[in-house]
Amino acid sequence: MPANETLSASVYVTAPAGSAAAERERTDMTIWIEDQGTDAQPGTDRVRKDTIFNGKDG
Amino acid sequence: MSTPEASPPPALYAAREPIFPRRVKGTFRTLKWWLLALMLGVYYVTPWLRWDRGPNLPDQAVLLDLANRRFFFFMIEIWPHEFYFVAGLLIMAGLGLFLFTSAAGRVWCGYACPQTVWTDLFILVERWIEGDRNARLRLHRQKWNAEKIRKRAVKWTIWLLIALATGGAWVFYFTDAPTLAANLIAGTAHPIAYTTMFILAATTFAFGGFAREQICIYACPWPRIQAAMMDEDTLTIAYRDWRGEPRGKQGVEGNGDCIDCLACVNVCPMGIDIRDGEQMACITCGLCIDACNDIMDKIGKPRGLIGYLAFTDETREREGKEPKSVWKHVFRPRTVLYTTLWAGIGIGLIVALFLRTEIDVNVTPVRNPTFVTLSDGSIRNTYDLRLRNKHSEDRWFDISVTSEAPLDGRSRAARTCASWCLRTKPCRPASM
Repeated sequence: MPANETLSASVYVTAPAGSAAAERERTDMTIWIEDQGTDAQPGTDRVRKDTIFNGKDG
Repeated sequence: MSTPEASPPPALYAAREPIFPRRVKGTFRTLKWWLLALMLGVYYVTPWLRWDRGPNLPDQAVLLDLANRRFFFFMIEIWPHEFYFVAGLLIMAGLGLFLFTSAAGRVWCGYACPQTVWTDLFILVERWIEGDRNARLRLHRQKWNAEKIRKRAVKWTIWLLIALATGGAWVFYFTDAPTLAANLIAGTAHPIAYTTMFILAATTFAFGGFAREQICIYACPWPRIQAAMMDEDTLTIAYRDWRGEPRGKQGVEGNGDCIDCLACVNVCPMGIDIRDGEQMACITCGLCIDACNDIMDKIGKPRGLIGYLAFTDETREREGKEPKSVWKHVFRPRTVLYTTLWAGIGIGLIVALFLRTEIDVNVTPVRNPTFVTLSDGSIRNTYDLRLRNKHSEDRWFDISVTSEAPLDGRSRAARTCASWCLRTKPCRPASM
């Protein structure tokens, strides 16, 4: 990702048919962003965002 | 029956009398010169300071980069979503103003307010061109002639140059100063730069050169608000009338220490007489203290006929007691509370500054629809993700998702990664 930039993206999360998350109304989930660094230097930051996965009862 | 002629109502408007403060020397005047030099120096020089941030970022030490929505302050870089830092600094500035006003009255007005600082600078130029108070009064009253035209033209030209430099310095804070300076001179800068510069130059010229004390008395809300921060222990400038009155010629039996020389009035940039008591127009600049102390030295009387004094001290002095020490006025519950709040916010901002990460993420679930059932029966949710790379170099990012779900439906406390836990592999998607 370019330096000093803001990226907008859509993230698609899929729960397999019949799985608990697919059947339940709501499931807590967390999206993690991990800084992998540059080609020369590994990253150190890891950021989490808690959100909800809506199942088919939702 | 005759009716007496009705006298016309008194005029409610009085034309402004120009004020020509006399030159004065002393402790407070010296302090004001030093502060003036420091503050003007900081204002004019700061945009020209450089700070190396690497190849992808501007090298201006202090820069409000509105185009890229970034604020640079030496090694600190503030992004739009971190505006709470700016809000915190503004709250600290407000609390600082409350603290200083509570402890020492209107020291902001007297020493640090831009209106005071630029007016002082303009009066300095005026005195340099036209002479001290009496010469300026004489020039003001005389008819227009070659001498008056020459002096006024020189004075206004220098004022205008200062005003242009002031407006110019302001716009330099918003873009690369050397580049903008070259563009301004070449006439190729953006019209907004010229407009901003000329508006600020015009207000500086008018406020510092002509409006002067009227801004403080009629336009500024602070004199009205400051009373809420002051109490009987606040230090303000006061005239010790119990020592100075009755005023009159020196050596006459029964007269006080005030010889009614009007030195305190003649040096006042607000044109007030401090002997009339505390008044809204007084900016507590301390110049009347310097002027009076100088006179007291000359007539062999003790200094301090005019001085920084709290209301409680006035009562004590009238009773023949010693005033409280300055520190007892400065350290009292109100000022300690302001200091504690100020320091608390400052420490909080510093901690937040060190704890912040170089990446920032916002995740918003798409709610229309909340989920989509795919052809194989699986359920898909969509999330809008905004990721900010605050590093000054390109970087790779790995996005992964974990969920928590009861293992068997009986223990809600159990937390684990669900069976559908997703992780993008390989972790360097081309789009990132």
